[in-house]
Amino acid sequence: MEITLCSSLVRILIEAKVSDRIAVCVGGTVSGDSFTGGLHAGLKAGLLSGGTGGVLGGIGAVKNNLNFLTGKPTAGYQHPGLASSSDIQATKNKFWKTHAANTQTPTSIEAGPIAWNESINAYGMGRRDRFWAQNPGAGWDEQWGFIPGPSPGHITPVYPESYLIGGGGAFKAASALPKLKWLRVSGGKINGFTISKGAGYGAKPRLDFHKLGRASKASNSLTVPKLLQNRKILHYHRGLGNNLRRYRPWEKGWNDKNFWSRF
Amino acid sequence: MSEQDFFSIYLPALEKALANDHVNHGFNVLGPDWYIENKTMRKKIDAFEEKNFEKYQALFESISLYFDAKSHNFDEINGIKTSEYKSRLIHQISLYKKKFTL
Repeated sequence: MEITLCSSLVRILIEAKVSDRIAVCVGGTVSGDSFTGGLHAGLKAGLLSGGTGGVLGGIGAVKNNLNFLTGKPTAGYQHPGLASSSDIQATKNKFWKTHAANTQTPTSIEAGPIAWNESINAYGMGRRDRFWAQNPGAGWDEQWGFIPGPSPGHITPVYPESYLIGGGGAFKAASALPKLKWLRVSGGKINGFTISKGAGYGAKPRLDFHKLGRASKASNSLTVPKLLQNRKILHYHRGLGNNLRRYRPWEKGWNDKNFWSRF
Repeated sequence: MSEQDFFSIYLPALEKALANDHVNHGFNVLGPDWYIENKTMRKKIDAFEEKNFEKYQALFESISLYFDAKSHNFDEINGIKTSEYKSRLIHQISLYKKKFTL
């Protein structure tokens, strides 16, 4: 069962006096990074300020950090592990300049070094990468429209949508609206919910509400206050790789640089 | 830690994790790192993974997304059934084993 979050989001935004952002629900595009990046920045700013003012300040920071209408990466927000969109493209361009002859989808990883771009190519991401290399000035819409098909026999691209950083188009916007979906145990009983863009459940940044048993990684630790232990807790997931699994902001990472790293 | 050393420890741990992926500890199915009992070794594995994340991004992300999906009882990952996803991961393990002659 899925419930579109639109009306709730509008109500929240009105109450938060940021109604000018209602366009989000009407025709804007919510990119994965904007959603959780803004949330991240907002929570941080809100907590820093403290109290009601802090919360409103946090929401304001969300407002300032989101770029819903264009779907482009939020200015100043850096995706963990990826410096910036221009850096990504520069990396891709560099790779394809040096691998111009590489137009075949590898059938095995044994052919050579397993550079991540090559791995991505093996996973069916090659066409879009080549498009970026051949059209270095291409806009986001053009890139977004160039979605590669799966490569038979290989893993279909498994990147969360936040990695694609694309945007544009009312259809895309409509399908990208955050939705509430129930989480169930294997028997079917509802035991929490998740809010994320699109119809699918996982593999993307999202806001979850369920019990937390232990840290997502053996080297990390959960820092849930005693009052909330063994209760369902609101938390969120963002980022790539093991980062996506982290129960933020409750989980302390093994290599966190400071307190704010957990957000 | 060399790539050879890393995969000689990481892949068996990953296989154990996949074999036990039906055990859910309350929204948490244990990933491969939980099956590396030696803490010092686990730290080295974590450090290698972080340092070489981009190089093996496709592999690390696939693993992470799979265990995230299993933890939350998601049926599919980006449109692929988790069971199908698992079989593809197992195939990838066999390729990496071949690559590093493990």
